Amino acid sequence: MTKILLVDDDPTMYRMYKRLFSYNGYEVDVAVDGEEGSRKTHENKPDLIILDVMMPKVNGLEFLDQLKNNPETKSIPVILLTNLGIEVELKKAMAKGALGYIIKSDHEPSEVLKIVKKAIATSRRQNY
Amino acid sequence: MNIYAYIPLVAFVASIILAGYAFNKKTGSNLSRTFSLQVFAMAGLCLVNFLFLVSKTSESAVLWGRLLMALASFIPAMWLRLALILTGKGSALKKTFLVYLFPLPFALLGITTNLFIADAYITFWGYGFTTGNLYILWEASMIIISLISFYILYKFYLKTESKKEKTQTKLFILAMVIPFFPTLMIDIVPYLKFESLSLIAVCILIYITINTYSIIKYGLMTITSKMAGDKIIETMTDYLVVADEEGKIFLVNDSFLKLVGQEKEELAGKPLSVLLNEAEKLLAELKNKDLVENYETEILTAEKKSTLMSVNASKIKGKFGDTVGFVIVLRDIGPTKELIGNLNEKIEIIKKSNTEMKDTSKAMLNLLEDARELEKELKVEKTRVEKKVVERTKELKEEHVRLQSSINSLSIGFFMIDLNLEITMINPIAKRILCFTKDHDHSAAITDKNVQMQCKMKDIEEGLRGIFDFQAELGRSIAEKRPIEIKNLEFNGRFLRIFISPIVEVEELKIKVIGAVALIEDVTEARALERARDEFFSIASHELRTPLTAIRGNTSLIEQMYMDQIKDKDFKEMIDDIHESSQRLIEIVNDFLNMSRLELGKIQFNNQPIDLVQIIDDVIREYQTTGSIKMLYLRFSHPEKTVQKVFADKDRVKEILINLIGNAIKFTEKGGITLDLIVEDNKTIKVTIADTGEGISEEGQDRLFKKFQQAAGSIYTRDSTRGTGLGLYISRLMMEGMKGHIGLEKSVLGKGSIFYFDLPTATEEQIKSSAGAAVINPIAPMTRTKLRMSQGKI
Repeated sequence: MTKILLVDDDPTMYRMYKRLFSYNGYEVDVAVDGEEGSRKTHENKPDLIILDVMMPKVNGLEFLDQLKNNPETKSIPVILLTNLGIEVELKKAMAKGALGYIIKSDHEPSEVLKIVKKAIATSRRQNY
Repeated sequence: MNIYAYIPLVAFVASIILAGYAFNKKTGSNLSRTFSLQVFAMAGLCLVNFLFLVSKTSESAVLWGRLLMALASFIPAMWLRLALILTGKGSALKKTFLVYLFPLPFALLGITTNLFIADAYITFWGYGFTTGNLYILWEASMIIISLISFYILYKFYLKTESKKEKTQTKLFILAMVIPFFPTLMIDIVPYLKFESLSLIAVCILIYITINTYSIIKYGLMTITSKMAGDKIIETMTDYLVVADEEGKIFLVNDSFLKLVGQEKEELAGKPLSVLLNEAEKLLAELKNKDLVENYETEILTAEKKSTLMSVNASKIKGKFGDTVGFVIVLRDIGPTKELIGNLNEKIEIIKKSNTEMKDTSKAMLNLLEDARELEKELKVEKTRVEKKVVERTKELKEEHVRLQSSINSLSIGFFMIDLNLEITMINPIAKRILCFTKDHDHSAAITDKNVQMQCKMKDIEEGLRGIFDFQAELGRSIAEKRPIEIKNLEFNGRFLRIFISPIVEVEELKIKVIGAVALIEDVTEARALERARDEFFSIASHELRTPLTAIRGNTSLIEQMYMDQIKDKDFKEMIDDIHESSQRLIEIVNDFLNMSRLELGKIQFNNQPIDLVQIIDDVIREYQTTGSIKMLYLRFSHPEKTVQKVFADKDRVKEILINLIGNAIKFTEKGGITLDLIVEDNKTIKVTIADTGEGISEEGQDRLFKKFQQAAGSIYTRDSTRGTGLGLYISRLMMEGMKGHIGLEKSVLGKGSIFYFDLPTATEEQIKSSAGAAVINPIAPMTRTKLRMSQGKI
């Protein structure tokens, strides 16, 4: 089963996306900040990380840095899921190696699911 | 008997011959006569000298010696007389004879007593003499009189301007001085009891020879009528020609030579007709009479101008009454022919001006009366004007004070400079911002102290050094005659907005810059506010959108996950409404956020060379896959040729397209929407979106593309289901950001509207440089909310 690590500090958000992915047959783990996200990444080795940008302690971009700088986690695809439509930040994230980004308010859950499915498929094709 | 004794005899003979020759050559002058007398006297002296030398006894030698001395006494007096006559001081002949009274006592005493010549004795060449007791006195008197003569002559020599007189005087002086010194020496010798050769006769001979030479060579001595005549001829301004009896030119005066531009030598001996055209006629007339007066003839001058001359001519008669020559005097009588030609014209003008003057004088008389009246009125007017001036001055002063205090009470800094870039007026705020920033609190009250404090251009320059060159910018504004604005200048922890504008005076349609004004605004607060607003929108977007996303997402999930449990129609509809409301709210928040960021210039356009045809196809496909309940058509006819790429932000262009198509769908019930792509020229590509909808009223057309404006009028008639009304406004802002245009091409009520936008084509450079530079999001296909929102109403 595909393992997704959802890193978001807002319970209404992570609960909604957790339901969406669980309901559609994914194994979902949730972390509420970068620190926890980092720990869970090493424990569970997820197939995909969906990452919020604005978070306490270690924020999304910092966490992305850690992931991409670590050879063990470098290859895990990361999708940013945010509500900050600030292009500069998003471009920065893309440059750091994120697979892509999703503006939460722009997309219905069904669309998010589609995008994620497509992303997993793409990254699998690339990896194998 | 010694041969040397004969020297005086030779001198005597030579003197007589020379003097006689000179006398014969130039007669008729007083001076000449005086000179001849002198010469004869000197000749006599030479003879006496001879006789003295060859005396038989010492007694007779003493007698001859005394006679010699007596005669010699007169020589300096003769010189003096000559000098006086020459210089004009002794023109009266009789008076000058008086000079002989000086040597007379010496001569008489010399002959009768032994006071001067005591004795005679035989020397190696004849008799010599021993001097008497008063010999030296006699000698001194001789020297004094001689020196006086030289002095008079020398002064005359310096003073005279006549060349001839100068030469004459010079020769006289020479003739006197050359023998003077040897004579003096010779005279001294017997006194000193030396024996020497008597050379006095030789000296006399030198004197006579020089003077004779000067008479013969220069025609000197003839100082009277001939000399005066020459002088007159030389200096006269009239033109003079003298011709001989055959009418050949004998003499032409300088002024005439100058007039005709000829040389004396060239003219001499030539016939008179060379100078005078009508010479023959003139001479013929003179045959019968002695004098011809006021005969008019023309002379061609050196400048080739014809000058009219009045001629007086007369015969010169010889001793026997025969004609020996002619004297012709010409006088310039003014205007030449051409001038006379102009005369008639001038007379006409004078006549005309005469008439005018008459009229004028009439008018003047009338005016004079009027003037009196006017004067009275003027006095009244003057008092009125004076009063007015006082009033105006007061007003002006007040105006100035008002202006000054207005400027002083401005909330922004203000100062004015003249063309020398010196401050002519400055308000306290400007002083506070620019001059006292370091020690002063910006919010401090305007005190007398800082109102009075000096704030010169150099102080400002000093304060702003390295931050802003105020003087240079002011100069630039004046030179370029345009305002300059500098935003957000950071200075001393404050942010300043500086606006510089030239002061322009328009005078007779000419623009003249007379200085510049500078406004300095402290925008620190404004900036803080702006930042606060930015933050607010940023937070709002996040904080509002997150819960809205949760509402919308969860309603979606409910419908998806519990589809089989939602059987109740009302329940389903309520969930739908919640979903749609949250969707609409997100839309509104997005619009506000976008608008705000566009207005602040916070949105970066990711401009790339993009294919408009491709984008239109994409957007249309999205609509078609979603389908339309309204059963409208959506057409786009591909252009035949490949279309150049435009330089724009792909996502923004899509947004705009969606917005325009969405609007078209919204307002169209029947028919459909047609898109067209028009290649305007090489520089722009235009897209039109035409619908067959309800159309927009003229009033509504004006409001399109404006903030919060729907085509419908008041807030009560707003169609809240149709969005915020920001769509077109945002589209416009985005278009401006991409250097494109958006607008309504035309609209007819009940028939439909055509909207358009155009974008600049991408240049070669842009295509090259953008390759691979784009950061694109590979996973999210496009902003779907917009699209679906529009479709929601279909």
